[in-house]
Amino acid sequence: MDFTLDQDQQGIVDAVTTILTRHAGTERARAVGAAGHDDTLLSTLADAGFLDLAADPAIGPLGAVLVAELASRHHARANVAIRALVGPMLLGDETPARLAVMDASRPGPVRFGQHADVALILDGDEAHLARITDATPIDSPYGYPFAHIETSRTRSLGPGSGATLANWWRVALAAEISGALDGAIAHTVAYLRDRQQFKKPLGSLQALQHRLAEAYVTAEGARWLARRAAFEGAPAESAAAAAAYAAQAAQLIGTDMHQLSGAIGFTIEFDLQLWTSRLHALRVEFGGVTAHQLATTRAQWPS
Amino acid sequence: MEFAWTEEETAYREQVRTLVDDRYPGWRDKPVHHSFARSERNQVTELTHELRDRKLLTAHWPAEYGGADQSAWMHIILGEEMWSVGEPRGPQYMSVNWIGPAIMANGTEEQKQEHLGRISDGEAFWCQGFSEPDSGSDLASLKCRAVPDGDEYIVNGQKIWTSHTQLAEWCFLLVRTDPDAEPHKGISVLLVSMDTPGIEVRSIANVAGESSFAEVFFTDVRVPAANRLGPENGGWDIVRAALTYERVGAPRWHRGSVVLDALVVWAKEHDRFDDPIVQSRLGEAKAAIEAARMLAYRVVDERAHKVPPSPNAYVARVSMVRAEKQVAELALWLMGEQGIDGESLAGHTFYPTLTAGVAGGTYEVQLNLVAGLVLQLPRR
Repeated sequence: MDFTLDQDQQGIVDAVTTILTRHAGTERARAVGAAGHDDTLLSTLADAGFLDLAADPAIGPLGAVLVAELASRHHARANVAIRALVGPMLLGDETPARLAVMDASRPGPVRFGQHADVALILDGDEAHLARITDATPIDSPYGYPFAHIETSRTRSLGPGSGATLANWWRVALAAEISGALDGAIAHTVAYLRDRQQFKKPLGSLQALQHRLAEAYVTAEGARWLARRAAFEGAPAESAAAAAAYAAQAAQLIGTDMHQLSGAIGFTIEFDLQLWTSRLHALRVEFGGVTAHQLATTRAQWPS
Repeated sequence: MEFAWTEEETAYREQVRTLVDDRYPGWRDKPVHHSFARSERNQVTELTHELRDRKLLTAHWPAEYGGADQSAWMHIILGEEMWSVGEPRGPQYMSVNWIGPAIMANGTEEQKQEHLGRISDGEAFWCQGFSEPDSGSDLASLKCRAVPDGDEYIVNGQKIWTSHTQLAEWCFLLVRTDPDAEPHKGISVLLVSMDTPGIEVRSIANVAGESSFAEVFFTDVRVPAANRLGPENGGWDIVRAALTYERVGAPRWHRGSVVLDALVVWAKEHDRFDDPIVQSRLGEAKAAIEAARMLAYRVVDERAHKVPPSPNAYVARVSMVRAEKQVAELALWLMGEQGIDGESLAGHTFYPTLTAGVAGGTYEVQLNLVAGLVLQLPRR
């Protein structure tokens, strides 16, 4: 058990942060737009090898989780978590650059559906690989591009691959949520440190301090559950618990940070919404908190 | 960063499990029904002697003080395995967890000789004299006074909410030695034998049932100056370090985890397990427990790396309190009227857990510390 980053992990964090600072962040996110796709960012991360860490035996999924967290923290306009974490665990070196995931039993739109060439489709016990032939984008205020997709030429990845997809999808969601929580909380803390009312910083009021502290504790829990699940290889109970905890945290914190930021928080110019809009999308994906809780229980205590 | 147990840790856990199975085969059947803090002296020492003889009790201590030079993880593994079977070691928890380490770090050679051997032998029973009627969350305002008199101090004052007094032979007592200094700069630690004349203990009836706590009155109690731990007026730093140990000392997340397992058994027996609402709430509580476990493990990892105590201990404590209460609430909600029975699973869970956010520093004080020390929010 060791909670400090080793040299490789620290190297990943430093290098990926450098790339994201240059090729992502609030300005770039605004320039690309919520419905857009950042090909440059994706190819920069891919060329540097940071999307293929999960299947690299020297690094493994824990390294990929760090990439997913950071990409979400920096508003990456590309499906980094799915590409870095889910793809390699099912497809190894064959993972296509622009990948989306969907659940055949859910009619909802697919995140990054219009910007992906290939979809991993969960169909009961099996995962299928499918070429996306058509995508109908929808308007959404939830910070990501969404589309209904048509697919052809599906290929099954074999019995049991469905569970692998579901588990890594949940870990990816938890990592993305944890990165966005980190950003939303840090932004709110910084704002309340400065914002003066009643002749003092709002952040000096205990009622607000306690809510920020609780949010922080929750976000830390989400972060370490996601990391542990990745380290363990995404067993169903760890992956589902990480997703359940993160989805619940996203709901609570994604609304509470707005409450704490006041009216300015609702404006487009205020960066908070770049994280919170995505938190609400992530927390309903793949069935949302209740589905993850049920999955936790069914994996932990089989009937 | 990695989250695996080492071979040494796994072997140690196996040794503890073997001890339980060899010596206390009935304990696994009804683990959460044991009353943790109302243990009789011989119940405690029977176990602690067994642990001592197998070199399991203070494995994380240095060999020179009766330990085995193993990592801080061993204390947590021991706690997890023991709590999961409802062990009776409550009154000795603090001695191994933080009183011993505080004496190692700050004690004189004589103090180490007198106390550390008895603790690592599983003989010592301590209580902590911290809270006072007017000094609860604001601990640094404490007034219990110690006035030097030759080579002694004369102690007068009152402590309250003191647990485990019924067995305690020693008290880790916070006293005011300089009433004119800033509150936290006039506090000292005295190691006080509980049979010193002038000490009176009155127990307090307690709704939570789990721990029996008491008021302790000190009237002209003479304590040798040689029993002062650390420098005069230097007690606050000692106690602050000790408290960060205390906050993750007992693996309460593990008890929560055990209660959840037991609730699942109950739900299956009572045809409630297939209810998706029940499953959803079980999953929610399990996730909360595991989050608390990870945040507590992070603090243990700091201890294992021998880095100074950090505010992560307060983060862990907040998470633990929340998770434990969630489990307790779930127990009573799920069992409903059947949980009203004091001897039921919910009966042994709900009320004892009420103390979780108060004992050892309130939940709100932890939040203050997180806000100030971690988030760097401005002072009020």
